[in-house]
Amino acid sequence: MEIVVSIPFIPLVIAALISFVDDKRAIPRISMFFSGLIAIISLIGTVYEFMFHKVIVGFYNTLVFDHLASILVPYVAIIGLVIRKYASNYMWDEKGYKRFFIILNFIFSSIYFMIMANNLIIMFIAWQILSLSLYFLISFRVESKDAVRFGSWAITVHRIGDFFFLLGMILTYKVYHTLNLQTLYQIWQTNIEHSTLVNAIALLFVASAMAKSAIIPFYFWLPYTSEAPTPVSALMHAGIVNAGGILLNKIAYLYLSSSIALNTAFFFGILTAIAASVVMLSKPDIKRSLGYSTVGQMGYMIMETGIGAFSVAIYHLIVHGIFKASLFLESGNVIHLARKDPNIPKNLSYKLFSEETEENRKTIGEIVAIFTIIPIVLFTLIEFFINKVQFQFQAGIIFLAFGWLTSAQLFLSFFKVSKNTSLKTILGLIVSFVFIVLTYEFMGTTFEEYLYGPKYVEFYKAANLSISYLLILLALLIGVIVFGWAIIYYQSYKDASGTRYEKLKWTFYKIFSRGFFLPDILIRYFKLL
Amino acid sequence: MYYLALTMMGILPYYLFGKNFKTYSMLFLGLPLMGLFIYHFDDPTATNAIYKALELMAFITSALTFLLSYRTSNLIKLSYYFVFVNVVALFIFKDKWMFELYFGSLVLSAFTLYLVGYYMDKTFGSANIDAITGIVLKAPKFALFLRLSLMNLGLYPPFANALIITSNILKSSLHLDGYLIVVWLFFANFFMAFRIINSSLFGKPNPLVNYKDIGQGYVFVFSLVFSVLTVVGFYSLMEVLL
Repeated sequence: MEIVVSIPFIPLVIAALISFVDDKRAIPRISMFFSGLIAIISLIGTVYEFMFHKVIVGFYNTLVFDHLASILVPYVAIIGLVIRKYASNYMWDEKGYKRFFIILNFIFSSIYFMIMANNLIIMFIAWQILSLSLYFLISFRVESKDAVRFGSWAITVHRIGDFFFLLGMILTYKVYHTLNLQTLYQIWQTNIEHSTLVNAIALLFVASAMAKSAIIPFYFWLPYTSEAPTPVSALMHAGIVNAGGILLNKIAYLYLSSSIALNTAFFFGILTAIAASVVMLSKPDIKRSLGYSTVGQMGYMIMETGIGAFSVAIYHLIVHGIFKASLFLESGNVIHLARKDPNIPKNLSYKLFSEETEENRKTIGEIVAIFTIIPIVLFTLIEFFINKVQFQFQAGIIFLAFGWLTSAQLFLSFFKVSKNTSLKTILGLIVSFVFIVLTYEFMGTTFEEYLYGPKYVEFYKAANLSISYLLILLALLIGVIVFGWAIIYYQSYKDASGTRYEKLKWTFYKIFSRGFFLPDILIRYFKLL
Repeated sequence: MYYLALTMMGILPYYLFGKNFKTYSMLFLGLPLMGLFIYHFDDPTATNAIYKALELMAFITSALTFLLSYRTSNLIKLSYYFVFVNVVALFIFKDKWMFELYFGSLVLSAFTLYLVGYYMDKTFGSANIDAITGIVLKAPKFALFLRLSLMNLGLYPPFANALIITSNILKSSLHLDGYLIVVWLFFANFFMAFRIINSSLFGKPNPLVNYKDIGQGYVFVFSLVFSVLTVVGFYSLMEVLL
């Protein structure tokens, strides 16, 4: 079974083989064959892990195939297979076909190394190579000034993240005298100490994860990477930005000793989730809008780790990854079809989500039924299914808020909302809310048991947010909603043109649509690279 | 005296073969560098005050070199500047062997960049990174080695420079100034290296330049050097891992 730990080396073999091949047609064949092999080996490893619950260790105890790897490695392998297959056709006419596949395989190798590392120094090396390979892929179209500039932004932010990782690793070594993760897990679980140094280590790793996952204040590089080829965008949004969540899960036991770090992750996570969602809605550019959507989702993921739901973050990154990868690959197809069709290509997504349907009038009885029966069913289901442990430590409230925000965002992104179909919209919102909460809850709880066993309760305990903190957040949220509604009301019933409310609205719009002006400042003043 | 010789080996060609070059500023940078090498390792009587003064001088040398590097586009000059920027690394190495390993690998890395610049000058007619652009599209093999060289100088693994520094930091106990030096090295090398990548490796190929990829001889030399640097990198990594 030790062959499973050799997975990170296989993409390196692919890259080496490709570099010696001159026949262009052989490049995707080699790539597909070996990545298929990776997928098969990883699935065998996962089955073994599910059946025997035995950690597979190899290469002088530096690589490990554990429970976390048994979930993530097949996920990355299958995503990798799809992206390679897609890229083999999509990239055919691009300059540097071979270069693309070589760098792509370096990225996959570093992701596998990161997931399977049993030593922080191996993880650090993979962390840096991932940043570097990403930079080379974002700047793949080297003739485009924008691609090179935005690639520079990405590598600079990642370098800052690398530095936080380095500092965190140095302090870990100074405090615990080892970088072996299995040894560190034992220390972190048995020796829970709330010292300044431990807090500093935990905070440094959170900061590093924030840089990699584009969390505020490091968010600006991600929405501007749309210059990269479509398969790269898919890979970036499905895999690379998730590295922050993977890191925090790899060292999750450290956070049993640092509530401050978890609360910090929660704060920046929720801030990013809300701010990026608002910016996303105000962006006229669809690609940037998708970029900000990913930033928001990464905010949710980091927020989930911040409330102690580490395994939910893993589930979230997998689901979001699959969703975003499909979205980007599908968008590439639509663009391809649009070049041939003068109208909007009516593919499956269009028919499902965008096509106008005839108005469906509801009777009073139906309306009453919708507004009484559905909430009762909804709350009964939530009460029945939601993990009581989460409510005990206030995580449940945040979890429900997350469900509501995500389902609303998902729904509003897909469906046209009009007065005629308002009931359909409300019903859709409720259904998607129930669907998201229940699937997350079910999968999250399953993952919790599998990844951390009964210890998972300790994470909620460590992240326990004070109720006053939550009330302040709730008051703030209500304030924002009331303010928003007041502005909408004022505009609808009074002539607001030329008033200061109108000016205020446009000022806010300007701030959000320009991404808080940070990208403008960077374009103007950031010329180090 | 070994270090003095090493430095002289690095500096002399710079004076002898460098073109349009600010001699006095480099003298200012070069002399403290030599002093540092002599004092730090050859004079056991050096006091703490002298040590601190030298550290400050090295830092100023390094910072000035970094600023100077932004005023030039000549790759040959830049290969020398990399050596001078790293002079401050002397103060984070407590182990003589690790220091020798680091500076050996640094000189070798700077040599690869020098070789790249030399090739550009001879074949493309200029070693100017702003004039010779889009190399990655026109000379892919050459671009690969330039990329590897800059990855190494920009302190990225799996090459020696990054891994030696990392294992040294983990093994030795540094004070606050030591950590400041690490911060400086981490970012100064990075910015210098990636400026070259953005300017020369990327961009639209210059239509006035006749691009020609490297031959087997260069490929052999570069491959050999990078193999050595990778082996040295893994060697230093093993010292921490095992």
